Amino acid sequence: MKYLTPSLSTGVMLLLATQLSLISLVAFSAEETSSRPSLGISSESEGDPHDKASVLLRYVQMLGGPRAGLESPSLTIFRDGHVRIFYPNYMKQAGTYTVQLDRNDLDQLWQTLTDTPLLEFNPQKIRHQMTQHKQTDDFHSTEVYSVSDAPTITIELYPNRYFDTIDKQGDPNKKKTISWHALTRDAEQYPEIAEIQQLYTISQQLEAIMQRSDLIKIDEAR
Amino acid sequence: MKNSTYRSSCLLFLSLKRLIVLVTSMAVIIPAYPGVFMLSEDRPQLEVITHPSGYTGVGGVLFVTIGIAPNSANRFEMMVPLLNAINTWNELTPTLRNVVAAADNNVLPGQFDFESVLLHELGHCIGLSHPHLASESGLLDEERNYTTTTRGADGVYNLDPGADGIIGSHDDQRGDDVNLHWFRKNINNPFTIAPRVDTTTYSRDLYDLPSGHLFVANGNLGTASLLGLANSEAVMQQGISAGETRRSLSTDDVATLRLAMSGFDGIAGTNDDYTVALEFVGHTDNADIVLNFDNSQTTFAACAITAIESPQPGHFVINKGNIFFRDDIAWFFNQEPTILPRLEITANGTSGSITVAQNAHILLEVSLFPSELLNKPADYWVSAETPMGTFWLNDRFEFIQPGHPVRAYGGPLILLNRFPILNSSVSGLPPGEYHVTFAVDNNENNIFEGSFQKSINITIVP
Repeated sequence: MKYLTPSLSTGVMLLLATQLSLISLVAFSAEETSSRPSLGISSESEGDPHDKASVLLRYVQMLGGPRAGLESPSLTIFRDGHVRIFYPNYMKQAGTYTVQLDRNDLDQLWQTLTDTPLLEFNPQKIRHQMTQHKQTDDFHSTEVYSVSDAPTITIELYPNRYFDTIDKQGDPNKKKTISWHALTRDAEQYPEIAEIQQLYTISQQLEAIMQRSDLIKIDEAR
Repeated sequence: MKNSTYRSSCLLFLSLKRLIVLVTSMAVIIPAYPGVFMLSEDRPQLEVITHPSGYTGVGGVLFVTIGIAPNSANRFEMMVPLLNAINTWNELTPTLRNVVAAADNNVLPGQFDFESVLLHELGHCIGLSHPHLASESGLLDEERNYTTTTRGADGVYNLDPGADGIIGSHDDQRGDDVNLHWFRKNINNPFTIAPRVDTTTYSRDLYDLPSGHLFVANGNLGTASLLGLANSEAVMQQGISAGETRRSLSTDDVATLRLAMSGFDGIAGTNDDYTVALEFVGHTDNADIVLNFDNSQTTFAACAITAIESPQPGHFVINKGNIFFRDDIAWFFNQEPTILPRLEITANGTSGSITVAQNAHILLEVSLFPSELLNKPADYWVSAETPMGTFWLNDRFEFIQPGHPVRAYGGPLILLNRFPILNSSVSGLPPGEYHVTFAVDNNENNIFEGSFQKSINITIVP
């Protein structure tokens, strides 16, 4: 697959994804109706490969500066590698964009996303680790660092929806949500905390997708 | 820009401005309590107060330099908003109704007001933190309006808005959350300020709340509304909408900084008290606070500081501040300066009016503080209305009476600090009223317009 041209690859994956989403729709529709659509993704509908049931991952940058409740930049990756990116109307690039990840890129990204430290990400445990490091660091250093109005990133991950895991009969609505404030600062301040480093690496990969030069604009911002 | 003469001028200028503000705005000054200091969350067991760069415990004027990174995007568009924001913090005037909706300001639709956001970030970089549980709490939407606390022993925020249903008000029930917000003792009103702001009048201890109050209120829009005040909010409250402006300080912001200005001893009126004077030092990285557009550092705007804990427990002093902005936000750069040139004219060191005897000596001095019109072309004029008619000062420093205005000087607007224009005996002048005016035009066309002016009345008695 990885040697196919993007357009052919896209077509094959779209077909596959359509079939898979139909399977999951039939099997898990009762649970799906309880979750709200978000990020401009439609509710599941027959034949739509990019409904909410086929979402693999959502990534939201909640900006520190605007009032709470304003829309934030976001990225959604679907099971077929289709990506939808949203920039709110207060950004210069306001609008909705799409791009297609090839299977190889998606595989690599998925491997990183489903690594154990991330799936078992426990904010309280990590905050405790940070406090311990901070106390040790402060003992040795008199200089302290602080950043205000840093963004909060949120990753919603559906670990049972990818091709390789779909046959395992796991609950496709199982969702891992990770939310972290000032990730860039913490990645710099706590290089020894693996979970922070991994989360930072993933956020960098997702940010890179949001800034790809081959994004196709499909809609103006609302 | 950093020589002692300039600083002396700034000091005089600031003193004059604050005096003028105090006198002219007494009717509208409204009281507030202070908010929260940077690094409070790191040391919840201490009652943290964070001071701006350069504070050593010595009182006086504390100059904090601000630069724009030489290669930053928008480095020229930032200048007027920056000078305005600097002026706003230097004047330290509390205001009400400081949140102005899109329809009533000059911000273009869908854009974020850079000056308002910068004013907030500058507050962080001189030591002020959010008075409420902002985005760093991980809370969403309105829950962020609860007053700043730690999570307490149970490790979670306890959030109950109380009977009034208003988040961040005096009847919130916060369980074991530990308050980090300074409030006015026995008042706890977000929009009042004590005549004296220090640790004798402000506290973080909930035992100092008035009877019946359950928690510390903060200066958000909801609590303002509860108190019957519309569109009033602390500048340090995180969050602004596109099209909205918040370009003047609330009482909350003023009181917080004034609490810091009471020094390490926390007592106002002692030798370690200081006054903050922000000064723009140009396009340079060599400043206490540096502004830069850098998408790698922020997704909107942020202030990053490093600080040192002083020997005085609970007191931090900022080393360096960096303010970052993201350049793909639709920013609105206000280009309307709020700082106009200020002129002063004194006789024997007195402004306004003075009475002198006919045998006395008189020294007339003028001062000019050009603000952002520095080096712009201008005409300078000095007129004297006397019992003998109107005289004009010419470029040879002689008062003449040609029957029409005469320019004293044409050239760039420059800083004049108590520049003498007359130093002689008044014995040759008849008794009576003399009205002397120092005027500057905002162009250099040799036509008298008097764009900016200041006068003094001199009464000569036998």
